[in-house]
This record gives sequence, structure tokens and C-alpha cells, in this order.
Amino acid sequence: MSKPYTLDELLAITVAKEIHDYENVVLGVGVPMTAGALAKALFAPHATLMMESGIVDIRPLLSLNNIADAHSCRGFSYATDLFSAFTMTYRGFVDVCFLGVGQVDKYGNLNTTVIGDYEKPTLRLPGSGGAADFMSYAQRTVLTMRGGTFVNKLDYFTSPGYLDGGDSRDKTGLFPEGSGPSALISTKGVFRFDPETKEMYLAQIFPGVRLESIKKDVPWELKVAADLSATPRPSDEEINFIRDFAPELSAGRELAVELRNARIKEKADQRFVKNA
Amino acid sequence: MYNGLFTSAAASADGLKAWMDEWVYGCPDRSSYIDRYIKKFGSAALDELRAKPFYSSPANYGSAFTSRWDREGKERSMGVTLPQLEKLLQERGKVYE
Repeated sequence: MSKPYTLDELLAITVAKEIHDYENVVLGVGVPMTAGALAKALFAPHATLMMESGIVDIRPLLSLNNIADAHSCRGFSYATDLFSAFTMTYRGFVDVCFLGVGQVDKYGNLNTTVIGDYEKPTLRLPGSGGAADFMSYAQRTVLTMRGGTFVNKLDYFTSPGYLDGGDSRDKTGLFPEGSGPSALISTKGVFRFDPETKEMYLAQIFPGVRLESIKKDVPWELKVAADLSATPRPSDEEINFIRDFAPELSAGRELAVELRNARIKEKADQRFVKNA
Repeated sequence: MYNGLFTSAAASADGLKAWMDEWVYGCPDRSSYIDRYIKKFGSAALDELRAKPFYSSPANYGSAFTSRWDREGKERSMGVTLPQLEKLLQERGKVYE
């Protein structure tokens, strides 16, 4: 029996397995970067990892704070700029990119702009950044979901998935043929898109998660694969990599914040005693 | 050479159309585009454009640390060691067997 794991860890490890060897991969900060580093270390040694800031072929040592974090620079083979990184994307050189989800609908369209009314939002999200560009022009997009919600209708349409489903994305002529989201990975399972209708369905379920708990998150009648399988449990090597590289991901948001705040308080108290 | 060719072709509508037919619509994929380029300009011309290794000196980007774990084995922001973190996850019921 291998060691116990958290759902956030299984999420990152499952995301990593979406990267194939020799692919060009655009990563954002957070789960994608951790997944990319894991893939590069264990499954896809020839993958070229890059960030939209223009740093290409990176081997990060630890999880990064921002897309131009100096920690990303170790061993990179090419440093260019934002403009070139996007040009490269528009020219079709990106095989796979990763995007976090605010709201997502059944055809994988994304909202990362506002929750609620645009003028009077209940929550302002970061916006598109490069998301709409990458999702438009990368061959595949893998959506990752740690928070976020499934909705029937997006409050704001930020980035294009399969639009109205079927061949509607390809029919616009705006995107590389056959491009679009290939998977959505949450902390409960793996969703894929029907090759014909492009509707999202549940393909894999994380071990220990109940189907009902997934269905209750989804407002439409979620289709489930006839051959629904359990996501393979992670190996010790995979778990150990994540814990070393991105311990805050392993801890999960709640525990990480709690420990970080306790540590800040402790340091402040020590300083106070010393100065008193 | 290629840029010059485009600039002069693009000076007239017919010229631009002929250029597009030759280099864009007439090339179904990248390899047929490269083949056409070699046929027209020769492989020496293509080789001149090819990126060759152009190494920088080792660069010092400066970094306060290169691991999330400090010398005492504590995670830098959460302040716990790996065994402590694993114990906490266990106690909070966050782990799956």
C-alpha cells in the first residue's frame, strides 16, 4: 500500500499526466506549474515548459509566485518576451495549456472575470490575462478546478470552450481545427468532452469520492461515462515530489492559511518580547 | 530577401494575391512551405536563417532560497516540518488511503 494522499495532490498529479513527452506546454502559476514540474521530472522529460512571460524550457525548483519569478530561470534554454510568447501561441506552436476555472458551463466555456452583474459584481475575478488567447489557439486546454462552479449560463463569457457545442467552435473558423478543452480536472474527478456533442461528461472519479457529491455540484443532468473508472491512486514518488515542491498545495488552502497566519503571529510576538 | 519579395508583391492588389496564392494558400502545411522555400531560394539560404546555439554566460538571478524547506527542514511560510505537516493532514482527515 502506498502512502495516503490529499485530493489537491491527486488533482495536481492527474493534471501532470495530461502532459505528453515532447509537447510544448504553457503553464500558469499554481496547480499547473506544480503539475508541469512533476511531469517534467517523472513522465515527460522532453516536454518544453514555458510561461507567458517568455521564459522557455524551464525546470523550476520550487512553486513560483508569478509568471516572471526568478526561480523559474534555472536551466531555461531561451528567454524571450510576452509578445513572442503570444505570437508563438497564435502561430500554433502550443500543444497544451492549463487554465483555472471560475465558472464553467457544459461546453467548457469559461468565466474568470466577474461573478454576478458586471457593473455590480459580487466577486471580481482576475479577468482573462492570457486565458482567452491560450484557450483559443492552443491545441488542447486542460481546465483545473479547486474552487469554481459549474453553471448553466456564465455570468461573463471570458474564454471560449466549445461555444454552443457540436461543431460550433470549428464552424467559426476562428480557432485551430480540433482545438478546445480536452479535460476538466477537479478535486473530485476527471471530466472529458463528448467527441460529437462536445458536452462535458464524467470520465473518472477520484477514489473515495461519491458520484452523488459530484452530481450535486453540477446544475445540468451530468452525463457519466459508461466505463466510468476510478482515477489511479498516486505513487509515493509522485506524492513526495508534490510535497517537496509545493507543500502549500499539499496542505490545502485552509490549513496553509492557518499555519501561515500562526507563524506570522509567532514571529511578531517573538519580536515584541525581544524589544520589550 | 523574403521580406523584400513580400513588400514589392504587396504594392499591388494582384501582386499580393499572387504572393498569397504562392506562399499561403499554395502551402497546405509547414513542410510544403519549407520545400517551396528551398526550391526557390536554395537550402543554403534556409540554413542561414536557422537558429544556431547562442549561449549566454551563466546568469546570476539572485534568490534568497532555492527550496520551500529551510535548513531546519521547516516549510518557509507554514513553519512546520514534513512529518509535522503529514501528521496534521492525517489528524484533519484530509488524506485518503
